[in-house]
Parts: sequence; structure tokens; C-alpha cells
Amino acid sequence: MVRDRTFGSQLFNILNLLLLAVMGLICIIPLLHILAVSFSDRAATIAHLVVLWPIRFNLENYSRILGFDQFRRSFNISVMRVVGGTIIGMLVTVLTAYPLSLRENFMGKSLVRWLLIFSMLFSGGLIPWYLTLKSLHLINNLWGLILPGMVSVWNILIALNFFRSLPVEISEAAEIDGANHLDILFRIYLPLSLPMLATLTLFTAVGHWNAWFDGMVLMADIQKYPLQTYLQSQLQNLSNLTNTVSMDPTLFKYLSERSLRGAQIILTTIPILLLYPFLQRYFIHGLTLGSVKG
Amino acid sequence: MGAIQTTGQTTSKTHPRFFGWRFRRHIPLYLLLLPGLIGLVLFSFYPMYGVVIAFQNFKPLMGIAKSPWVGLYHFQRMFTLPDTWEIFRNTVLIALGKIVFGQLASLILALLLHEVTQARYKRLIQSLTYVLNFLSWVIFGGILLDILLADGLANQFISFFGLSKVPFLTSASLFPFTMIFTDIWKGFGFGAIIYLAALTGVDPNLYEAAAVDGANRWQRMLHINLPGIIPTLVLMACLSLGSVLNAGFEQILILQNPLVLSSGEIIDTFVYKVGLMNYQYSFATAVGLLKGVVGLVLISLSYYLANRFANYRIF
Amino acid sequence: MTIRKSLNRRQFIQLAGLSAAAAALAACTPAETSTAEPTAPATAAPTAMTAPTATTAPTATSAPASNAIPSDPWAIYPDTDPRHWVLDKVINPAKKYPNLEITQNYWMSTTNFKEGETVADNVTTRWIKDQMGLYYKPVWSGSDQAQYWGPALASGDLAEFMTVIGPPQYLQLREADMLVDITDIWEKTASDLTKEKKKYKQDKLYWKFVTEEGRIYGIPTFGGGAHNGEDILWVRQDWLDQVGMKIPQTLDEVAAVGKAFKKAGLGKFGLWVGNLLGNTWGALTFVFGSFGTMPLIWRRQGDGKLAYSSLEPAQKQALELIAGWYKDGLLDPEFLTAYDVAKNAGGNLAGMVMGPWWLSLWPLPDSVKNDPKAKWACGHIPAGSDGKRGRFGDQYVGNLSGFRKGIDPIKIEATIEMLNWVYEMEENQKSGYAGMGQFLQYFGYDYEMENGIGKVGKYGTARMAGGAFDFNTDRYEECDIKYLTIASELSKQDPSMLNPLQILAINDPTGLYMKSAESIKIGFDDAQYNIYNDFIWPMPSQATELMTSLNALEIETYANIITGKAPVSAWDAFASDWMKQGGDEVTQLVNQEDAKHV
Repeated sequence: MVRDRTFGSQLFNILNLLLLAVMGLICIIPLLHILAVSFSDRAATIAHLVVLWPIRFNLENYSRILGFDQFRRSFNISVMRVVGGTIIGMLVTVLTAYPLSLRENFMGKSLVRWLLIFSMLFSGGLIPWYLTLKSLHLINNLWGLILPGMVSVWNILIALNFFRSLPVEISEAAEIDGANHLDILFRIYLPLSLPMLATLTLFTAVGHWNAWFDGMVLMADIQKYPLQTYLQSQLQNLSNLTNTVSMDPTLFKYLSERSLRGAQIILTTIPILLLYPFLQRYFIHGLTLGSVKG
Repeated sequence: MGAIQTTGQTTSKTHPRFFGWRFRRHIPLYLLLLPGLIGLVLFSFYPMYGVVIAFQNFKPLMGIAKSPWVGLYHFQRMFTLPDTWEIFRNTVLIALGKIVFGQLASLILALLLHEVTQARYKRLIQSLTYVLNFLSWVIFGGILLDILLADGLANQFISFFGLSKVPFLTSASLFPFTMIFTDIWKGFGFGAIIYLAALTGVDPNLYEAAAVDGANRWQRMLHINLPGIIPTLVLMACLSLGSVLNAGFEQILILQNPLVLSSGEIIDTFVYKVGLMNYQYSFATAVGLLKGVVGLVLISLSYYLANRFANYRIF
Repeated sequence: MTIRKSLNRRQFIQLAGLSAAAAALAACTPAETSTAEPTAPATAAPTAMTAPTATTAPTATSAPASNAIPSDPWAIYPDTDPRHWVLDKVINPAKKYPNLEITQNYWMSTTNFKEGETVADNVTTRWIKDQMGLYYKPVWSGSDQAQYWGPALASGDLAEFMTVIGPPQYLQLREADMLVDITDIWEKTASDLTKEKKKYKQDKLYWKFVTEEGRIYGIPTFGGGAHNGEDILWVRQDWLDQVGMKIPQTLDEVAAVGKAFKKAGLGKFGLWVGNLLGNTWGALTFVFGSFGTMPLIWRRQGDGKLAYSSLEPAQKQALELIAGWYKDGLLDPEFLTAYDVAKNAGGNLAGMVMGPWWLSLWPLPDSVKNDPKAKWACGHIPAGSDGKRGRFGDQYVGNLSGFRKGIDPIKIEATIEMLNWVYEMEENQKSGYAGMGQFLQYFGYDYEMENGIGKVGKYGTARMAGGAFDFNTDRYEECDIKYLTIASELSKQDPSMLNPLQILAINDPTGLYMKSAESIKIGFDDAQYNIYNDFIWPMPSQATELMTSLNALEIETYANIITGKAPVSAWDAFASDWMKQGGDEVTQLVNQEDAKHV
């Protein structure tokens, strides 16, 4: 990394750091608010009295949620879904992106690319999708959460774009040495694509972790809900209960649970937040050119 | 000819006979594509038969086979409703604003972060900025309501400096900007990740070479970093064009109110309200079909323009 | 190059390790420190009371330690029949069936199950199997019924006993002739008590919905309860005392009280109303009602046809009054943006609140927590200057239950018998709990014991039962009045005469729960002023798009008039635009649909 010693450059550095600090702060404020709410007393939170610091601090919300059987169950389901979905998704992504990124033409290359775009834009709707999954026995089944998302057009196109940017000399050299396509992909392309792979892994994992709608439609049993579906079902009940014309007073205990929801949000967000620092180390500089020269 | 195995040289030129060795050489490639294609067929293309619902008055119990056929009725309805033009305009404005300024914000953040030399600080800021991406709009929208209303934090801050309060959410002229800005706030940190990844692909030797040539910081950023991520930017922009009619359903539904409908009603919120009255799969499918067509046209257009004038294949 | 392979393995191990760590974190729970979580009436843990005499309550230390799922939910102590705590006498079902299995879609919104129990197998399912030989097998038990119906109808996988059927689904099921005609079975099997409870007084609209040419195709349920979505006026009594005024009876008095509160610096604005301009509770509909009109509904005219109510000229007068209120600062300037009764009433920002009788259960108790001096009073909806009153009438004609065509009639009979049984138990209950099955309190689930006093438990079992217990927590018309009366009577008694569950039921440190007995009577009383939507069917599909556009036009116009962005005369333009932009087509379609169901 080149370091300038000029005054202008150092001023820029300071301003940059300040600006970034402000941005970081602004972005973290909503989360601090939720954190404060999660440690606060119920009555204070529904009156929106809590801003950035807890009122009547207590750990009750967390102990309650962690005591809910369903929370633990849903958490485990989400973890399985993320692991399975990310592995399968990333595999499909690189396997699909590689042939499409090659310079040589083969029959159907263009067609497949446009099919991908087409699939991203058009859909038959919820009902046919549900019926298809039903005929594949993916209803009420963890695989129904993992498999349908395995082809991610965004990811494939990003990977494709990146593979294309790799110098062609590398793969040509490998071919001369007798490598086949699988070798080239796994032994050459992927190690050079670590930043891109890390990014896509993050996107895929986050996508699976955050997904809630498919769980709601495909799972017939609340005990099979993944975590975000479970959280959403609790939130939905909050809004359903306050917006329906006829309210059932016995369900009141589930209202005013903003502090409980706050704790739930924190608990569902933290695990996935831990993933990024873990992947950051793969954002390594300049691997590409290094290997060509070497 | 048959004796030459599939792992032949790339440099040899052969005439492309259909089932010749060229094809056989490509078999591994087709095999690699197979899982993706199977997934596409099963989960995307097979269910696409449901598009026909757009031309019917679909009733789930009757199924597609027995639901009555209405032809272009829903499309006619779509174009003749009193606020169609307004809704369409709102959608495009908000969506374009989000795409353009959103990508810009992510890009700038990535460039700025890249200039930071202290690795720990860089990682810290990076992590802080992308956290909001994990909150659903239901949650973040609720927080925004607290912040942006007349006595919320934002206006308290503003009036502290003696300025008059800003009706972020209640003014029809400001509402689209509020939507764009809050969407950027939520997503620009996460969006910067891909640009950062692209920046790591820039050869560090170039910086040395440029410094030797006398380029200062700004010039280095302009001539090395920026070109390094332009391909990514173009790809992102092009793909985003496909969703130019998706202006952010959840966000707008939550933050919308009667005072801003003239600028804040988008296609998806309208379709949602229609569906609340009576399950309306047909209308929703028809709208989806229209969105897809528009998206396809725009993506194809940008692809061919880039191909023709910049000799650059976006994907 | 082997770097990639080893990275792959390392990556995988680390990923696996991370998920294992995460799972482990989730699995180990800190010591349970939950404070009491209230069920229907109670809002806080019971305060210390004198220990009940030995004849009515067992000693606290003899609580059973076993974790076995009890076969009888009321059997907690071997030497006492705890049904005496809940029912006046032991009531057994009229008939017992030989292990009959009926599939059903449950609505399991927020129930938490004990370790080892599931939706399909828990304390209540076993008990019902034991008592009546019935098992309602859940084929779907999510939290959002809307997600059930689309796919279920499309795939044809319908439960035998279907609950939470909304109007659009009901019409589709009828069109496809998938509902059983239960007229005769109902007549024969439903007990007199059941028929009485299900009479539903609102012009028998509920029954009208499911009856076609004299034949019945579904059982209407009352969902949350009668008049649950209808408003009365709640006022801060302590603030009234401070400014020396009485509960407002008319609209003018409401404005006066609001001004007085503001002058005295009490609260942020005078009157809280919901964001919505109609069709739900807590809205400004009472102002329209005082002029004899109501927005957003359809009303039957002299010639029997339906016409849209927002086109009535009286709307303009109501809007003028409201716009005046807004200008004077009586309403929250941002009430159209985000309404939140919990924030405004619970946060003590408003001195007057429009809302149903049950506000005293929620969120008003929270307002007392935030301001211990808070005291709330309730009154009738305010009248106009000519003494006229009108309020939006709650007409929740949804959530029916029905049976799939072609099933064994004995299953229908069994479900109705179960309904008979539950109503009979409910009729004889004395614990002060409300609604179908709410009186079913299991030890170790719904409640626990602490120092001989009942304490709210973690697992609400009422929803686990299925069958007639899950007629969407059905309540017959006077159900809520009844249990509040019971509770009110109990609260007057010497606590030593009450059993632990009764003590639990009536506990009320804020004093607001007992207020409900008063507020519910006012709420029911004001039903005489109700204005109902005469069109009870879902909007016909051809009209939905148009109606959405027209609604947007209306809401926007009204919002602009109220907030002063447009003059009241803008309403005239709206009225004519409404007709021109498709209103007459919608009216036609609505009348056509209406005529179909005569």
C-alpha cells in the first residue's frame, strides 16, 4: 500500500476516518435502540419511552425467549438450512458460472445465459410453485427450504463476471499441462476467486438466514418453522391483533411485547453478524497477478 | 480424429460438426451445467405454466383447468384505472432513485473504506454499516416512524439548529426522497461489500507504478480504483434494471399513509390492497407478467447497447 | 495445488464449528426468571393474600413433582377434586366415540409447548381422546391462516373439519360444492343450550351468511366476541378532576375538554383516534355517526338497493367538524401517519381515547405503570348537537367452520356434541375465565402454584385442543359480560373463600380490570346506535381493482380536507369523481353480488 506523506493526503485520511465514523454511527443507532428495548421493561417500551438506553433494565426477555422450546427448535432448523443451502447453492453457482464464463463457444451457451435472466424476471406465481414443490415432496420438509433457492441468478452472474476477468493465460497454461475442466475450476479458478467466493457465500448464507416467507407457506406445522418465519409469525400476530375489527382479549398477553420482540431480533441477528468477520479474511489483495507471474 | 481425447488443445481449430469431437469435448461442460439446469427447470420453468392465470379469473379450488378464461381483461383493467399513470410513475421514480443513488452510495463507501490503512478500523466500520441489512422492514420501518415524525430524533436534531421541522413522511413531495434515503441507509453498507471484493482484485503494483509516475491520491483513486470496479458497477446496474418496477413493497407499505398516496403508491402496494379485498391471484399474476416483460426489455436493451458501443458483454 | 482442498476442509470445519457453537449457545438456557405472564383478566402477579383455608386449597408443598403428562388437566392433588375450582359440578360429555379421528386445520398463533409435547400430541389432545374418544388431527397448524387457504384450495387438500374459513374461501368452497349441508344434523344434535348460545342477535347476519335457501353450510363463530370492534369513549378521570370537568357527552363537550387539557398542559393532544378513517375501532366514525352517516360502507336504500355511504351529503358536515378539530389541535397532528394506541394511551399522551370496551385490559394498565396517578373512566359515544349518536357497527362475518363434503356424518355429529359439552361446561364455570376453553386451566401449563396461590403458567393450552375448543375461541354474544360479572362478584368476596384459580383470575392491581365490567355494559348498550355495513359479502373480483383505486381517492381526499390541505368543498369534486371513475360500475357489481344471496 502506497503511503503519501503530503499534507493533503493526511488531511484526506483524517476526514475520511471521521466521515466513516459518522456513517458507522448513524447505521448502528437503530440497532442500539433495539438493544435498549430488549433490556427494558414492557410498559416503557410500548409507550415508546426507550430511545438508546434501557429503562428499568432487566434480562427477563432474553431468559424467556431462550426458554421457549420453539425458539431453540427454529434456531436449529435455520442453522441447518443455512449450512445446507449455502453449500449446495455455492456449488451450483460455481458449476454453472464456470462454463458460461469460458471464451470458447458451445451450443446453448448464449441460450442458458438468457434462460437465467428469464427465470429471474418471470414467475408463475405462488400457487404453481407450491404445487410443483408438493409433487416433489418438498412440502413440510427441510429440503423444501434448501433446494428451491439453489439456483441464484445474481450469484451466478457475479461469479461469471469474475471468472471472465481472470487472465486467460492461466487456464491455457493448465490445459497444456493436461488439466481438465474440473481441475481448472477447482484448483485454479476458485483459489483465485476467494474474495468473490467469500462475498457470494455471505450473500447466500444471509439470504437463507433472513428468508421467512417460504417457511410460512411450505411448513404446515409451527414446530418446523425456521427462525425468521417464527419471528415473523410472532410479529404478524402483533399487527393482526391490533388491526382486526374484532379482537380476542385473551390474546392481549401477546401484545405490548415490543421488548420481547426486541430481544428476539437481537438473538436472531447476532449469529449471522458473526459470519462476516469470519469471511473478511478472504478479501485478500492481488492474488490474480501473483500466480501468473509465479 | 476419434483417437484425440476430450482434453485436447484449445488452440487447434476444428470445424464445428454437431456430434464431432468438439461436442464430445464440451460434454464435461454440459455436465457442469446440469445441476443448475435441473434446478432451473424444476423450480423456475416448470411452475411458469402458472402465467396463464393472468388470463383467467383464477379460483384456487377450481384450478387452472376449470377457472374461467378472461383473456386480456386484467391488462385492460390495469391500463384504464384512474391512477394507473400515477402509480407507474411513482414506482419508476422511486426505483430508479434507489438504484442510482444506492449503487453510488455503496460505491463511494467502498472507495472510502479501501483508502483506510488501519485494518481493524476498516473492519469495524464495515461491520457497523452492514448491520442494518439484517433488520426486516417491519422492524426498521417501525424505528423510522419513531425517528422521522415531528417529534422524533431527526426533527429534534434539526430544530436544535433553529431550522423548521421537516415533514419527512407526511409531505407528498418529500416522501419519495425519504423512501430512497432510508433504503440507502439500510442497504448501502451491505451493498458495498461486493465493491470491496472487486477492489481487492486490483493489482497493488499499479499503485506503486502510479506513485512513481507522480500521481497523487485522488488521481490514483480515479484512474486505478474506479476502473477496477466499473465492470461490477455495470453488472449491478444492468441487473437492477430488471427490477425497476419493484420499488420496495414492504418498506413503502409500512411507511405509507393517506397524505402521501399521490407520490407513494407503487404497483406492489396497490396489488396488495386489491388482494386484501378478495384473493386476486389473477390480477397479481398479470401485473407480475407485465413487470417481467418490462424488465426483460430493459435488460436486453442495456446488454446490447453495452455490447455494441463498448464491446463489453455484461454477462 | 492443494491449497484449495485444505482450505475447503478447514472452511467447512470452521463453519460447522460455528454452527455447533451457535446451537450450543441456544441450547443452554439461563435459569428461568420469568415473572407472571397474565392470561385474560389478570395483568400482574397476584399480590400477597391471606392463605386460603385448608378445605378449599391444598398446602403449597404438596405439589406433584412428576413430569408425566397428566391425563386429566384438572387433577393436581389426589385428595381434592379440582374441578370444584372451575366448574360447579362435574360435567361429562353426552356421548363418547370409539377413537374417531378427524383432520382439522388449527390456528396455533403463539402457543408454546412443553418439552416433549407437540401440536399433534399434548395434554389436551390426550384428554379429549380420553373424555370423548375424539382426536382432531392437525393437518396444518401455522400462525397465518391466509397462507393455508391458497395452497390448500389449489391442491385440493382440505381438512375434514375446516376452521377459520373467511368469506372469500367460503364462497369458493360453496361454488365448488365442497361444504356439507348440516341443517338436519345441526337441528338434531345441537343442544338447546348450544342453539341459544349461537343465536347471535345482529339481525342473524351471521347465520344469514351461511344459509342458502333454508339450508345451512357452515357454523358461524364470533371470533373475538360481540361488539369487540365498537367504540366507547375513555377519559382520564384524574385529569378531568384537575380541570374540573365531567365526562363529555357531546361532540362540543369533547372539544371543550380537549382544550382544557391542553391549556393545563396535560398530555400532548386531546383526543386519540386511529389512523384509519373507518371500518375499524378507534376511528373518527363516531363523528360521522352523529350526522347519521358513515364512511366506507354500503347502505340499503329505500328501493332495496345498496349505495355507497361516502357519497351522502352529511359526510361534508362531519368532515368540516373534524377539520376544525384538527386545526384547533384536538387531534394528534400526525394521527394519519402512524397510530399506536399503546404509545398514546399507554404513554399518557392523550386524555381521551376512542376505543372498545377492552382497552381497560390493554393498553390502559400500561399507562398506569408509566404514570401511577392515572385513572380512567368510560362513557357513551358522544352525541351530535342534535342529540344524535351513531357508531360503526362491528360486523365480523368471517371465520366460519365447516365440514368437507363426503366425510362420515358421525364426525359432524361428534363435533357438534363436543360443542354442546363445551358450552355446558362454560355455562357452569365459576372461575371467572372467559370464552370457549379459556376456563380449561391446566396445572403446570396454564398456571402453577406459588405459596398456595395460583400463578400464571407459560403454556396456554386452550388453543391446543382442536375440535370445538378451537372454534376460533368462539364466544357467544354475552360471553364477555358473563365472565366479567363473575369476576366482579368474586372480587367482592372474602379472598379466603376463593380458590387459587379464582384469586388468579381477578387479580387487578391497577383497578382497571374491574372497570371492564362497567365498560362492557356501556359497549353493549351503545349497540343501539350501531350503523352496519349492509353488504356483508367480499367485494366481487371484477370490482376489486376499481374499488382499490376509489378507496385511495377517498382516503386521500378526506385526509387532505381534515389536515387542511384542501377545503371542505373538495368533497364535492370527490363525490362526482367517484361515480365517474368507475363508481357506478362498482355499485352495479355490488348490487349484483348482493342479489345473488337473497
